[in-house]
Amino acid sequence: MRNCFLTLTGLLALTSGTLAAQDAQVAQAAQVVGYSAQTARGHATLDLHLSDGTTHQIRFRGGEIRIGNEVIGQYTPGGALETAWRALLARSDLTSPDQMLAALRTLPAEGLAELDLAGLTALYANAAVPTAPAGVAVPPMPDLDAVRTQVQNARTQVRDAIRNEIRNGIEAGIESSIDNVSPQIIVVPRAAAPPISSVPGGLLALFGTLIALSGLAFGTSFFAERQIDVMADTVQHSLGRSFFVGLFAQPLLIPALGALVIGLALTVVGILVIPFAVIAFFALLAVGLVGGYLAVARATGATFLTRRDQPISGGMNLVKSTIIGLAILMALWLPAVLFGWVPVMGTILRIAAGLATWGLVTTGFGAAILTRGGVRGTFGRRFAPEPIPFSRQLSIPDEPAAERFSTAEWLSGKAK
Amino acid sequence: MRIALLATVLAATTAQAQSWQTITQARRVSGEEQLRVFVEHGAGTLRIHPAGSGQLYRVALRYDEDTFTPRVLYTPTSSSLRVTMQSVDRPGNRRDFDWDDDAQSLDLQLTPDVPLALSVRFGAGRADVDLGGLNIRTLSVETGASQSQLRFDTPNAGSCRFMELKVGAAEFRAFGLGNARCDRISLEAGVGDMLLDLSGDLPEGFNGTVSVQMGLGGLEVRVPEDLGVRLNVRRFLASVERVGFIADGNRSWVTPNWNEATRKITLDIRAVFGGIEIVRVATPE
Repeated sequence: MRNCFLTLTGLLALTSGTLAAQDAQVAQAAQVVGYSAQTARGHATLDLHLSDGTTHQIRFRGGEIRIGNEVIGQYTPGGALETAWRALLARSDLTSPDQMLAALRTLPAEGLAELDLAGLTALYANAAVPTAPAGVAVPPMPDLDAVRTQVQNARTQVRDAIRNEIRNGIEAGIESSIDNVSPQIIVVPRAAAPPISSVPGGLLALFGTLIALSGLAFGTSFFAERQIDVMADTVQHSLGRSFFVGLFAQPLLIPALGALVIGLALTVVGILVIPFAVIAFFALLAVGLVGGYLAVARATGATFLTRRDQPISGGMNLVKSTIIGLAILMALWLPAVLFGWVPVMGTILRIAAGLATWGLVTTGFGAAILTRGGVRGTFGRRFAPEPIPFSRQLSIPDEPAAERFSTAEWLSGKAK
Repeated sequence: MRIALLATVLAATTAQAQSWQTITQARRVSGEEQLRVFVEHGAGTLRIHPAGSGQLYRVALRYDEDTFTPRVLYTPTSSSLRVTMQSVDRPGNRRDFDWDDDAQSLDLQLTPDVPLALSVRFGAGRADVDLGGLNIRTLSVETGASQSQLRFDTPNAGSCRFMELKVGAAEFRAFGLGNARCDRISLEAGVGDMLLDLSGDLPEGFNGTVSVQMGLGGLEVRVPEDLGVRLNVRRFLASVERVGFIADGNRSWVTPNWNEATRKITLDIRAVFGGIEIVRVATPE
């Protein structure tokens, strides 16, 4: 790979004099016609596109400097060399391959740690840095040996300074440290919770919702018992009608609010009332939705109790049936809560429970609209005439009871 | 309602730290006869402008690594360049992305030396496309919910066959379309505020067509006074203001200089709702 790189591009620059002839020779064979520089979290890569269609790659990744697939050196992740390399690849003022080639020479060697300096040396020494085409101003190559000596001297000086500092101030430092010591708080990172651990929380949330709605049901039993009852009857006897009324009402809510606001605005005087009207609108909406849901729960609970020949009205039976209904409706969410952590199936269960709840709320909302908030009982009972007393079906007052014949008797002539 | 809800959710969501990365790619002209360019940029800012002579293209892309995966691919055999950004398929990442942030950007420079077939698809954000001085053969621009500007500050270096503009719900402004010298320009607009400025350096004997299909919104078409314009309008509930035009048959109007004009444009407009204004502007000296 390395030889190939040399052969194709003549890219070696460390001893450019010795390779000048080779550069001139191969420059005619293949030239750098383009480049691609990418920085990402895990790597910083420079691709050099040659005129013969091949690409040569210089990549900094995971502490290794690679040319193609070959590791040619190492660097300190997050260190000065990587920072400089990334800054070079991200430079916005380089507009052409020539400028990028020239800029490759400007990687700073000063201030690099030993590992980075060795990496940079390897980068240059292994022909990773191409020569720039003729006519492009190329900065001189850094004297890496001199830099290396400087780094070693600086390191020796720093080490000596630290040693002296420690030796001279160790006693004072220890006393000061003891005086200022503070309890160390060790934060132990919490292990990632397994997905199934969401089940208890979900169950608690479900139970809390049931408690809250039961509290509402208990409250409404004191001042809106009849209204809830009428809505529940409507849900029971006009289920489809309630659902479709609720369904068609939902998209009309915003237009209705808009009409309300515009209507008030047109009256000029009503402009002052608009904030209150908007609040009242949403309050009514909330009452309609919650009341409707409670009515559906009441209807569900009443059906449950009726099938067990238990009373559904009188005393606290309204509250009882509503709470039973709420428990049944909340149970729709149990599979989603218990198995919601299972991939795919959990999502499906949540969607199913959400859709079912939406359908129930829609039905309740429709019932609330049909009954005008539980005032009108028109849809609560189907039309059924009063039953005629049995005695009136068989006898006519002041007339003798009609002689009854069977069909056979009538056909045989006895009826005559 | 949905937008308000979405905005609330977005505002309530604690955005994760975004990881900004870059891709830069450049290439010299090396004997290409044409360059096909396809750009798909989902969000952020988009800038397209001419490159220096001798340079085929330069792409500088800054992107959020957690949300998007960019792809810059040049195929020498077909002389085609594709710049795309795919959304990373990870739950919540699109929600956490700050769609209003201008930090995500694509800067594309294109050669003026090689004929171009340019196709741009742009999602949300701001776009500034200056194609003046390039050699545009065909141009296709699709924008979504964006604020886009298309400019031809200087005349097109070659002959443009057609220009297709598809605008969703956006503010779209195109200046100097006369400099594009396209035989056919079509604009399909959904909802938004549009401006088509047909001024520019049209060659003598030019006879082109501009067709507009508009759903809902406002459209202003600016035509130079020296240009002969025939206006054909089919509309449903849209108003058309055409000061300076004279009737020429049913649903057709022409400028008074239609017969003697050496450069002509036929403007076909189909609109459903909204307002359309045809404005004749003074020809720059």
